[in-house]
Amino acid sequence: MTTAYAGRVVPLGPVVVPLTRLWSLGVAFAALGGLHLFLHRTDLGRAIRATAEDWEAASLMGVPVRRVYRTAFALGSALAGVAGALVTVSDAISPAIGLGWTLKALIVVVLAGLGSMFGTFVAGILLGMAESVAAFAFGGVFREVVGLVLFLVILLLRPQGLFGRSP
Amino acid sequence: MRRAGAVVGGVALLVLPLVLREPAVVNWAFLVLLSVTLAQSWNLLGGFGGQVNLGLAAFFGIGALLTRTLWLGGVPVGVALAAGCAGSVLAGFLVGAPSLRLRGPYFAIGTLAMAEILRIVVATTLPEVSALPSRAIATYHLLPRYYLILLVAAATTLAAWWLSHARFGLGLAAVREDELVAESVGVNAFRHKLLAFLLSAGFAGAAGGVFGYYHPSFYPQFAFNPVWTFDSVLMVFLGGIGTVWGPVLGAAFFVTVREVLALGFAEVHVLVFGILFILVVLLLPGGLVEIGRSLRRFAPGRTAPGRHPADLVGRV
Repeated sequence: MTTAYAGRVVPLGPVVVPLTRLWSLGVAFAALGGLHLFLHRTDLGRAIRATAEDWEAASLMGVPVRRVYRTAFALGSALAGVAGALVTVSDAISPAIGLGWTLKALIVVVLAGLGSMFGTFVAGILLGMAESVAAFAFGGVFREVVGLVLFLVILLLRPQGLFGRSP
Repeated sequence: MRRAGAVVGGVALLVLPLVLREPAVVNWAFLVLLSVTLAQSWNLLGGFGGQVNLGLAAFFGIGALLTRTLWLGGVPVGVALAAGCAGSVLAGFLVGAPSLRLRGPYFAIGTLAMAEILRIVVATTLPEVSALPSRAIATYHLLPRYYLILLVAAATTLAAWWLSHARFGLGLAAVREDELVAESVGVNAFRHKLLAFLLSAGFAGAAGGVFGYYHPSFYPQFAFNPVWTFDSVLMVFLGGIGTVWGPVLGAAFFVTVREVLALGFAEVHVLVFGILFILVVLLLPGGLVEIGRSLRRFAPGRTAPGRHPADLVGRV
């Protein structure tokens, strides 16, 4: 099945970018921006962050901890759904691709440091670049390996992540 | 009473392939015992030590690959198995020494990443299927394979029993409950975790070694498949985490139900199985051993055990 815009490309200076990828980037920006606003500007977002920091203290301040966990889980699932929709546009899919993407998500989160939104963004781009360079230099099969090795090295040398505060 | 049950079960397993000579039955018993070994080896570290190792498949794979290569190269199978086991322990040391300093989810994800790296490297460097040569096929007998895995499964369960009684096991339990408190009363947390990790890796390697001796043909990467890890974790939770007999029950239940469902439901058996698993976890958070425990609670003159094994789960 091919849509009218599937093969379309956009020239950005000397680089040619597929239209679908550009839109994916736009949607990712919008989702992250929205998440950031939600977590920092709404009561529920503040409650989520408070619970993450210290659930006992949060519950003493009247935060319904169970509901916050439920909401955060639902929100995370929804964002994974957005990512899944973007993946279908430009990548091959099958029922069994979940573990690979889950690992990628974990790598990015650890690279960034748990709970750092800005770090997650930078780490995501960093991982993508590292994978592309590795695939180019050593061959496609080592694309995943490089991400995992990067992950282990960061985990051992800097467990709080590149952008996380030290515990 | 439990000891009598263990003796009766052991004797039954010893004579089973002699009485029921049906290869399908012996193969089923082999798979159960292989799963018991793997589940129990995960339980040694995960249940008794509270460390979630999601890289079990790597040690299984190393054991399988080393043992098979040596055995097909002409080394006696016992020696090959010992070498495979030693290789897994060595790998366990190389992985465990740095990664056991990580806590909680970081350790789990780190071990998973390590296993995936190994799987991809093996899949790339050894893409050919590993099949037995014709002379090995001609002399293939199921019985020695069966007794070998029976021995390994028994040894792994014995190790779990030892952990539940010995001083080392108590130290490990203290580390599982609270690492800081354990350290403050003089338990070297890191050393306890590392030793349990080596024990677990060694038995997983032994399971892999017997698998490499048993299976006529498989792709080397298959032994590194994360399914080996996740199935074992399921079995441990099904049976009862942190108990000696839980993984045994869980493995027998898991393998049997899987085979029965696969026969009855064909393609959708995974779906049925997943639902069944969720039900067991929701209704019996302590695993299948919980059933026996609740029955005993109603028996006169007995007091209920104090601690719920499911409490361990929260610590993971």
